[in-house]
Amino acid sequence: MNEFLIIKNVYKNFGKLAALHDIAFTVNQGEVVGLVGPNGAGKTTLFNVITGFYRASSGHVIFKGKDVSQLPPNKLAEMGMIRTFQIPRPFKELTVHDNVAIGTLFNPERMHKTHISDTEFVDKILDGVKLLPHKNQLAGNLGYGNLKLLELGRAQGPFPDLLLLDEPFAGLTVSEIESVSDILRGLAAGGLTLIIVEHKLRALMKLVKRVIVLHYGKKIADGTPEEISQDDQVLKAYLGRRWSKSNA
Amino acid sequence: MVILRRELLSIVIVVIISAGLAVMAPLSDYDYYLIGLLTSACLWVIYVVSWDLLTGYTGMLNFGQLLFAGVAAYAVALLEIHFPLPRPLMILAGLIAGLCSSLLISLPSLRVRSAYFALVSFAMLLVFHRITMTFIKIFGGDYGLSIPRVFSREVLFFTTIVLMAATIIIMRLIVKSRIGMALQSIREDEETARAVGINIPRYKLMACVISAFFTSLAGICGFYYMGHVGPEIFGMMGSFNVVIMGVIGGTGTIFGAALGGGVLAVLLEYMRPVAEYRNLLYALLLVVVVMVASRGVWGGMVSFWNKRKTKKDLQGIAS
Repeated sequence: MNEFLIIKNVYKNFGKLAALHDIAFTVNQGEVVGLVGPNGAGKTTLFNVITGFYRASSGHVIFKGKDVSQLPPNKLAEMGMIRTFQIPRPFKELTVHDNVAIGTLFNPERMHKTHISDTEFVDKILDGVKLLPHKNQLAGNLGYGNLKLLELGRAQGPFPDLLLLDEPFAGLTVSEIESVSDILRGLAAGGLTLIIVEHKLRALMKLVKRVIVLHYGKKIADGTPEEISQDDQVLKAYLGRRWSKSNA
Repeated sequence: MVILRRELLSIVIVVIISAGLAVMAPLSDYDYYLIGLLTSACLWVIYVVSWDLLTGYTGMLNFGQLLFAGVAAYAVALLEIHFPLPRPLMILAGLIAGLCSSLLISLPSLRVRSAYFALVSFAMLLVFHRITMTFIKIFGGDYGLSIPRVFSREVLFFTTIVLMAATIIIMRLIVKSRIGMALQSIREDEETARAVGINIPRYKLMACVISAFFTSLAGICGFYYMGHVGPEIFGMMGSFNVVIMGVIGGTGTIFGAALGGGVLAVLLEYMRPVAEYRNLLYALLLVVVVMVASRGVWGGMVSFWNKRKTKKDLQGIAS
């Protein structure tokens, strides 16, 4: 199971627009990978293709040795691949506890063992994302920062092996970013594989050991944060010449 | 069963209220007017509670709840008239017909959003209304189908009450179970529900079939009680009444739906003398409720209670 997630020559076209062009990379179990690129580079599209929300126009996604390119998101979730959304999408009329509990209920391995009263596991997740005091509030009443945390909590409900996080830092303050980073580090230390799309590079680079750069739907670089920050193509395409002069 | 224990109090209350209704028959010395009124009210409760599972919990706005009841009733009526089988078999056949009618509106709309489901449910009602009016030889047109009385009023009255109590209790257990959580998550956000592993078509279908199951049984009870079923069951007014009762009572709680269905069905009967203004009053009531308590009477009561509790808690902290 070394080759945990394989993206094989994935293309995605919207009409004539090629949103993804021949994307290929492999993620090993336990890795923490950053996925970056300018606006419109295709990061979220790639997320949607991997998690089954979109079907690839061609190419394959292989997860745990199984071709999952044609499977719907709920099947992938059952297999242990869970995503979060950039803009939080909570179950607003349900409590914070239930938002997380729902995920725990639909994992086949835990299904018969778990039921709604099995709050201990949910409490542990909520404690991890610092939402335990808000447990019984309706998710719709949470503030933005807490909603971002709830996305992380809800994603842990279904016992994932691979988490795909779509801009977990978006819209957060510096200190909030710090605490989300800590949470993510904790998850990675627990053996979870993470793929993180993010615009806040400084925070991301501190978190990941490997970065993949997309630009206009193509993969232009793949390496450690240090390598990436020296990469000429990346500097030109993404960070801009000014930045490269002062820092590289 | 943890859910069973947690719902014990509400189950007991439902049983007590149902028993209370049941004893009203012997107490009134089997007054047929009262029995008829209560039977009809109980049927409305079943319709609205079943509707609440679809609309209040799953977010599938159903404008044609009585479609299931109508199809089941017509199926039983046709069998009674043309192919008299043993009665349990006919009732079973009616039930199956009702369930099939639920597939008619749910299968085309499993993959689309709520608004399309609402349209399909409404359109299907009109289609069946047209069918009953067009094939007069089979469905009797305006007159519908009638049979002589086969069950006594008393038997049907008690059956309906038992069915109502069973519907409320079973629905309550369903919505508090895993299935209920899945349904609510679909109502809240389909994308997120998919992302945490919920098979949306499966649960939407499940909600539809469960809802149709109880509605069909109620439809069959109603048919035997009246000895008649006519095209008005596919009319707009009936199914709209279900929606109005549900919204006024409060969606997404089962109890709110039961309350709305029961109280408004009785009210509707007592408004008979002012028949012309009945719908007007009804609509006004709807507007007022939506403005004052957008979550219905039950939802309003719950939030009032919660506010009072919070206030008390705050006072407790202050002192």
